[in-house]
Amino acid sequence: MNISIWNILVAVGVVGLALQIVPGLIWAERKVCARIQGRRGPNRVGPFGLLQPVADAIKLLTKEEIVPAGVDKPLYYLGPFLVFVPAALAMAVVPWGHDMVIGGQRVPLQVAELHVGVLFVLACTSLGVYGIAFGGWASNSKYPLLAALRSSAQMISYEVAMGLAVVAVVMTAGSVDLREIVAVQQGTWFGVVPQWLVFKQPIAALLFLVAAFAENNRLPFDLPEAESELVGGYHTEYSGMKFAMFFLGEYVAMITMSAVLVTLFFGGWGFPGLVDPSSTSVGSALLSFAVFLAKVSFFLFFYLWVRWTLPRFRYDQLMMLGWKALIPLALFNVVATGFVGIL
Amino acid sequence: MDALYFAFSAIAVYTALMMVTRRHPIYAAGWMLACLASVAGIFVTLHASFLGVIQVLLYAGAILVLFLFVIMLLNPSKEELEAERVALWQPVAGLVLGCFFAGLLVWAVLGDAPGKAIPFSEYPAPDGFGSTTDFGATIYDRYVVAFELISVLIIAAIAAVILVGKRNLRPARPGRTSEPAPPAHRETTEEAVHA
Repeated sequence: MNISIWNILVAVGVVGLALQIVPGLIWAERKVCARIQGRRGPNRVGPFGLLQPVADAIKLLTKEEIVPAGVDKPLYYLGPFLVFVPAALAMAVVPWGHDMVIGGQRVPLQVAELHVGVLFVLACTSLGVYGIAFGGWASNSKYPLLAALRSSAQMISYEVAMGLAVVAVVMTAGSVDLREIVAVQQGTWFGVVPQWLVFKQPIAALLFLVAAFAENNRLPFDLPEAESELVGGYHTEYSGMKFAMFFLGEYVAMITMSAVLVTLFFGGWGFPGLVDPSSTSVGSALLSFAVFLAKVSFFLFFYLWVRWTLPRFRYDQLMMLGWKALIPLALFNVVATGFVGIL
Repeated sequence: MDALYFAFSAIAVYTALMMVTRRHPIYAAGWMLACLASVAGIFVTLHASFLGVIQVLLYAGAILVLFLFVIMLLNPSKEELEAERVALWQPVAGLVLGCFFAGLLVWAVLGDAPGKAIPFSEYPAPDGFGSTTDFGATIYDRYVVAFELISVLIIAAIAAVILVGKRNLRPARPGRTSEPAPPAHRETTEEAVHA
């Protein structure tokens, strides 16, 4: 494998892009929330309050870092990073656009062309729980500990449903390589309906969506940081930039999940009539990248929309939904997909 | 690839040593996570990327999280951990067993054991080795009986766990015992966490 300067640029670009989306996402979160609640939202710092996240970032960076007495220091410091790193790592296998040829050299808009991409994504998301678990335990405080316990139980439960949903997708697409899963979704039925897997696997798409909310600890499944029950949840004892790292990790995980959702079910970078999958020109690649970004933005908006619309589940309801509804449904879906595959 | 292989091996050995020598189980679990990750790295350098990813997904992502859940639930204090003494025979037995397996390893690499280890420069991985297709074909073709037997074993183990776990949860039938029936109560969130 020879790594060219373009591959490095793509890698740096992906991480940079993810980090650049986060402030915009925080701004959008506040604006969407305000809109849903009939308020104006941030509108003082910059046009439309656009510079509000910048002000927030400066505040967080310059804030005093308070390390409470009695915390377990090594794990307390490790926690926020273990939330951020796996979320960012999973982005490495997502194809952000189709290949382009620059100077006779093929440049994929993907950091790592891994043949087991789907499994790599699942492995990375399953590691996200360690940051919350270690951070919550090391805080030496009862609310973070409860949050850490909830988080580990919740993640394990919904990972099973998510994994089974992905199994059905892999069976339909016939590959665990994200590039090939995107490739089979190009083209249309009757010239209008795109051949996206969401139409072939609607149950799997729904299961994946629900499980993604639970894996990211977003409302209605934000039990590990339920502020009305657990003060602040796992990050109660964190302040300043360490607290911000937890937030950054959560938002990056949201972007990753949206990107994976688009890749698995919504045709990835493809759009019939707009993107030519066989093209290798730079312009077409950038267009496919823009299409991908637009789809991801929609699902990011969907996250916010759900957050400010639905109330939080109770913990036993969360477990009931996971084990008694989602997992049996996912198993049924796998069996049904198998039958359809044989016929 | 060789340099990476040896780097991952060194990290795996170091983290494994740290894991067994830590007194607090949370730290042991943390080092075990690092150890599992470096073993996954070894798999990837040996062209078995599928196995490497599965290693992280199952062992680090699911099994170790359960360990961590139990450790945090019990949350042993410093005093409790320090009060615990290790019996003399335990480290001795560990040392003897460790020497035995190390001896086997040395014999396999340097001696003339059956199934002798071959340096990978002499045995390059065939095309497609370690891929998902190759892996699936091996399991469902050559080892299909063993694979199915293992799944039966796991189902038996799960059934046994449910039986043992639920034995004491069966409520006493009203009217049979002299004790009053326990008051019915709604499961609160915190109890659900501990359940």
